[in-house]
Amino acid sequence: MKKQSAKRQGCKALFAYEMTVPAMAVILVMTVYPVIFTVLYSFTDYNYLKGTYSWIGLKNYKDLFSNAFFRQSVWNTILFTLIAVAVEIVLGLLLALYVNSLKKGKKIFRTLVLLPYLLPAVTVALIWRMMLSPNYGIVTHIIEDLGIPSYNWFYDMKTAFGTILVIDIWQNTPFAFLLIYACLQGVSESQKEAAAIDGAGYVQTFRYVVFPNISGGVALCAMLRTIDTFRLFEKVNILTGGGPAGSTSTITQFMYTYGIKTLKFGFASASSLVMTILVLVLSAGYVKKAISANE
Amino acid sequence: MKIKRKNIWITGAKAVAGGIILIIALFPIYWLLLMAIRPANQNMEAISLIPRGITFQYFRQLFQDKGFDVALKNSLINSIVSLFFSLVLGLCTSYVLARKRFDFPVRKPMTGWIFLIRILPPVAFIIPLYIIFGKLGILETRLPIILACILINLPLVIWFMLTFFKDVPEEMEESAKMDGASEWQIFFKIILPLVLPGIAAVAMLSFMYSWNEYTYSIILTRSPKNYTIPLALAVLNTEDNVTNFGLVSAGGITSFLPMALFVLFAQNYLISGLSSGAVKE
Repeated sequence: MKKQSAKRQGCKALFAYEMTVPAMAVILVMTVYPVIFTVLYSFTDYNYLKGTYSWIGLKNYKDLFSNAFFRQSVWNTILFTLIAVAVEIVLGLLLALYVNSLKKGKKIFRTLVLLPYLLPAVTVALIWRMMLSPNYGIVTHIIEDLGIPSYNWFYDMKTAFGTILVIDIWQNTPFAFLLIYACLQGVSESQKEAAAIDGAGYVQTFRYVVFPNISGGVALCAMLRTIDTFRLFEKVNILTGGGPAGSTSTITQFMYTYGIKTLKFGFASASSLVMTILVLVLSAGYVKKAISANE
Repeated sequence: MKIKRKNIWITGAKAVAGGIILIIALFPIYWLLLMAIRPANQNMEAISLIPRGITFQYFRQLFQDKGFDVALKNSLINSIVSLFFSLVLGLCTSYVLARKRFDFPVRKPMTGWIFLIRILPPVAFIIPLYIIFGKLGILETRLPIILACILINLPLVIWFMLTFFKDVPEEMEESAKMDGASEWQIFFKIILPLVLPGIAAVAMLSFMYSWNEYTYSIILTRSPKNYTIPLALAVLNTEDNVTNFGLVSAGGITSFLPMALFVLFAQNYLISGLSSGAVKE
């Protein structure tokens, strides 16, 4: 009897290993090893072309922080993320409340509004580049008809950042909308009715009944958008390449231009590590909570 | 009477708001489609919201001269192969992690790390990966992008499916065991069929992420023969910088086709996948 149960136990352990080892191997090689080596490379002058490297201590980090373009990229990334996420959450919430209040056509409306989010970021960048083109873009046509001269949105330091921001918000607000809308479905009708009977108006009902129920979901949505927006690269890379004068560069774009294209992998590793640490700091609370919830 | 009039105002205001929202969300996509199918001269003329005549010359040009035939093939192969591996490896791992009875030493750190991978930016991994792929001599193949897509989607599948597996009561497995079923039989014959909706949702999500992938692809791809749709589009953008809107737009429409099919035929899974973040985590 005892022997059999031991055998059973053995089978179970074997099964667990057979099921997880392939994925673990992939994860070790593709993520654990790279993270360790990114840290190591960041203290070297690794140049991919030469293939040699020597230990240079903190020099990459000193170079980074004394680099005005890098400092600007960090600032741009933070500012971009703050504005984009705040606007997306507010618009997403308003949109969710709007769709939720519709009597007919909720489902089709939800799907139609979602479409921008499903496009590849590259395609979104190209759509807007064409629409805003100073030569034949439709937006240019329209504003010329209004008597305003044509304008190159992406080549002017005053507007490039804001334009990319608007484009990113256009694409990602639907995601915020969808998540918040899903949360709204969990708010009980009877609670809302009870509030109405007690004489609460729309704003009061929202403030005291609806919002407390969805605030967790809204916070989560803000977190997910923050993590995603922090990586912003495609749109910048396609539309401006970080210019003019670094005014639209993000950390990823900086690293691509000054570390990866130049094959200065030591320097690139240092900047990627700075970014990684920033992301971890931003999401620390969320990570802690999610991991402990699943143990 | 007064209330009724107020209601009419509200209904009217809502309809107007809805119209504006839809125009903002959809006009750019409609315009893209229009530019892709409108005969050449019309893209330069005065604005017209309805095409006078339809042409497929841009699509033909795209697939015949601009390498979109190869890019489409690459994108499909990369997305499907990486999806297959992410699902097979991810489902097995997720199931084991979801069940307390399979306790093994690295379970907790592994679960935590898998979650972290989804938060860390791609640049945290990409340099050593580039170096390994270079040493292995596979930078001239499509393997790096496939592996990168697995790196994106494997943790997604594992994390996404955890809650689905946890929702299946463990008693079912115990009673199946009483009947003499092995662990493998339980997993394949009993558990997997029960979580099929979750699998469909995460599969669509993974496909979308691979299909739209750009950051890893542009760094890990060297030769045009391995370009995916987003890369081919980016190249088109630099080549035909100024005015070939028709061509670029046709490329944009091509890049949207699989997602459009999902929306048309499997919308519920797609949406439950996308919104799972809110309800499930």
